[in-house]
Amino acid sequence: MNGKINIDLLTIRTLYTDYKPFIIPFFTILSCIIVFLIFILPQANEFFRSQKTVSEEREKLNVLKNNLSVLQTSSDSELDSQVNVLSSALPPNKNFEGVINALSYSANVTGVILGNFDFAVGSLTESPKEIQKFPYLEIELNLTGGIDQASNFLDTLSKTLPMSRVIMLGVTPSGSSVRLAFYYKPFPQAKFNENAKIDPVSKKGQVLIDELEGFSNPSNVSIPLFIGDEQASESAL
Amino acid sequence: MNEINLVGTGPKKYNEKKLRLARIVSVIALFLTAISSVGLFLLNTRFSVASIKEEQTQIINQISSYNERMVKLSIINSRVLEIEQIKKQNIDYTKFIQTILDIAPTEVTVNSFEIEEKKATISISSPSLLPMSDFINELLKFADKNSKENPTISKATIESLSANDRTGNFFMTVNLEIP
Repeated sequence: MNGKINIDLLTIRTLYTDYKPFIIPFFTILSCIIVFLIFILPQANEFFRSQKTVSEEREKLNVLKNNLSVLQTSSDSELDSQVNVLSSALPPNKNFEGVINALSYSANVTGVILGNFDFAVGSLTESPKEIQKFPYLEIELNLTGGIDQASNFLDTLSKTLPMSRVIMLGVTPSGSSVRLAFYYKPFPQAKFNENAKIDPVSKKGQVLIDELEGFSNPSNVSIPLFIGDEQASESAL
Repeated sequence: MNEINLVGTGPKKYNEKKLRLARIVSVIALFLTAISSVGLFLLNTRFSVASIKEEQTQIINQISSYNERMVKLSIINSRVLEIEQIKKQNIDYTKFIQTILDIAPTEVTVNSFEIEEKKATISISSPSLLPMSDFINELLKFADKNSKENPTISKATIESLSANDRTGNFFMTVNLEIP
């Protein structure tokens, strides 16, 4: 059947008159479908697609919030005190004064007389090589007395800032010789990385700081004068 | 003069039920569109990357005012780690020497004791070989106690044993290895 539909103005007018109440619902539904297809669906797709990025950014935001909280709760005076103690324990550079003060203090406290000493200072201008994780100043010294005096001296020195380590210890009935390493390490370069987590001082760190605070820190004491054997004996007494 | 149409409008061409259904569907569509639009708008405002970035910028600005504290904390944390590492390397040489001297019999004279890194050398003398033998036995007993938690001696070697007929003393040098 080859039926033809003749749409002329009269037909349209008749249809309009007959189905006028359907026009508003029809256009409303059509508009809603268009709005849904053109705006809502792409927006929803975009929203769900961006959720991975959003969760990553949210994690960064949490890190930042945590960093801010850590910084806000820290106290300037406490941080200063902790930096001072730790810098005295591990100085940022070759701290000759600190080393000599520590040796002199330990010798005075234990009554040991320091003999000749040999200081391996190294270059004063070059910064320590990166491969050398913990650079140190090496000092070799002779002590009067046997193992007990040497033991007392090293025990006091191990509780005196800056930190040192015994590399070699030789004991004879007439005296002892010790080779010590006094560590130093330049401060790390301060680089602000917004994504890096800022940790507060850990409990372990706090314990270490408390322990170091209990150590003797003769760095404020002026360098003692190099005195002769007789005077040294008197001062040791 | 007003015209009065005397012919009625006739029966309706559409179904009332279908009209009601169309109206209901249109209202529902309108409602859903409005709800989803507003919902998406709120979700995009609340959970969009841009809003989070904005919040991040605000916090970064706040953090930058604590720059000094940040540097100090960084120094403290790195120093704590470094000092702990240095402390781990430390060996209490005096305690070790004292322990070895304590196990030496009284008849034995310690002429020298040198300890460097993980090696120790002890030179002793005695008028008799018996106390020297006792000393070696004590060293071996001490080495038997060696464990991961309590390192003592991993190796003991007699480097030399000699006698001096003038003084009548025996001399012995022992090398020790600390684990």
